Amino acid sequence: MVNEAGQLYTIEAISAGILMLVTAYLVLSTTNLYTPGDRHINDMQLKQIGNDALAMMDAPDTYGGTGNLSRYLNSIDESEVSVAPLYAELHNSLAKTPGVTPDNLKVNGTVYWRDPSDNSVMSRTLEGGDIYHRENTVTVHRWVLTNNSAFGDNPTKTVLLEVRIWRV
Amino acid sequence: MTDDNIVMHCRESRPLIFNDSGALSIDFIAGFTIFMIVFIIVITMISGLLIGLQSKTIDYDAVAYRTGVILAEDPGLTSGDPYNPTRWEYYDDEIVRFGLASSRDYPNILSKRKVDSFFNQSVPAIQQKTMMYGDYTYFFNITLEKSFGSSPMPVGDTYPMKSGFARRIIKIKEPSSMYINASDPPLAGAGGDGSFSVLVDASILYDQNARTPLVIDPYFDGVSIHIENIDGTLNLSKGPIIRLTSAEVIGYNAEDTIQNPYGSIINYPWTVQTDPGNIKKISTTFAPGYPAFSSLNLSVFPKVYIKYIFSNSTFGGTIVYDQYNVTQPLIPAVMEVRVW
Repeated sequence: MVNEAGQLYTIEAISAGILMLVTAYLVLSTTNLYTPGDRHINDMQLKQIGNDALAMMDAPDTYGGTGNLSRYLNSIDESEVSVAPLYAELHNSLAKTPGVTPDNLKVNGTVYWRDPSDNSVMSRTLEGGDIYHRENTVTVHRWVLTNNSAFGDNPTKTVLLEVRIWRV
Repeated sequence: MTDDNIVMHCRESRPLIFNDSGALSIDFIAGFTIFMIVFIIVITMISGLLIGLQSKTIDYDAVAYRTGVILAEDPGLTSGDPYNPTRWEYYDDEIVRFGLASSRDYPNILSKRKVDSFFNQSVPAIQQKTMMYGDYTYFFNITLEKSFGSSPMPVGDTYPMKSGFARRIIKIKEPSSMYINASDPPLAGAGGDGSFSVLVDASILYDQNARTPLVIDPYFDGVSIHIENIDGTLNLSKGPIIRLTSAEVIGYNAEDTIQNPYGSIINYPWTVQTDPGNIKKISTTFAPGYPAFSSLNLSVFPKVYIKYIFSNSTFGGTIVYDQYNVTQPLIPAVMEVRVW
């Protein structure tokens, strides 16, 4: 049965089809979708910079000398002396412009070591770091040589310094 | 429900197929055709549509990261010198791969001479080929900033806001230099005849057990010796109190039995000179490439003495040019890589 009504339906179908197609194409091609998978790029960059900062703080400037990281940990005593210089240098290293401390980066450090007497793992949060609530952080680690008796009785030992870095 | 209703309903209902000719209606054919065409077009376009979902920043960030790793952690490669393949800074035309690290074992400790050579490089095409890799032509900007207030050293074009990014925290190792205070031992009070030597000993410098980023490379990094606080007036040729009568370089074999004089160093290009502002100081500079420090000569004559003879003085003794006696400052810096 062919009549005007049937032709009208066909034209509507064509136009509706084209309209749907164009709409779908425009929507999908122009939207910049931020997929959750992209997030690890920022985290990776932060982690990389954190690792670099710790490595450079640990590199001694003179042959046979002590790196700054060891020096800072050696200076901690039982009476909770602030490790402000450590945090200051860490902030400085993380700075986009050298010497200008970024205000959107927060850091917070913890030292882990093994107590040989009962083979337990001890830890101590380094005073003076930023207060961590529930932000999304990256964690970087560095084994540091120290002779500080605050981290066990052995004269020289390696402790694990863990630094949390996060953006606010 | 009444019987009338049932009858009326039956009478009004029409059979589903009211045309038994077997031909499809033109509506159905047209509709089905349009549907199939649209369906095929959509299916073929899906792959193209998904391209928009691939974030370009991921790609550029990855390239920036890769470039940052190559520059900060790799010493580079040249085809110009098979014995010292990482010393590309002396072979401009034969650079296989850029890399600024002083050694593969110590990432992020960069060589000053490589940094200078890289950031003075004025051929972007070469840099691109030997640093970026891949078929796609990337634009890049690499900036090195030593400290707050110092002018950054950029290479490449001005970068747009949206670009792949990587930052590396590094230290730049300056070439070694030795500062000798003439009023301290061993020079002062040596009771000598005025003859004083600096010993460059390859067996110490290239000791594989001394693993340190602060390696001294006399041939490629050069050697510089500064004798300071020389009491009295000093002159190269004449002077009333103390004068430097000669300065020469002598190579010895490991047993000190055979010597090989390399000659006086008072003349160009490896020179001894007095500091014009302070004539109590003399400086000796061996630019990179001094023959006595080449690996070939050091393999035969591993001990190289730089011998100074002063008149009217009691200087004496020998100072070893090693990691304990020289300064090699590590300058903290930040390197930023942007790719787009």
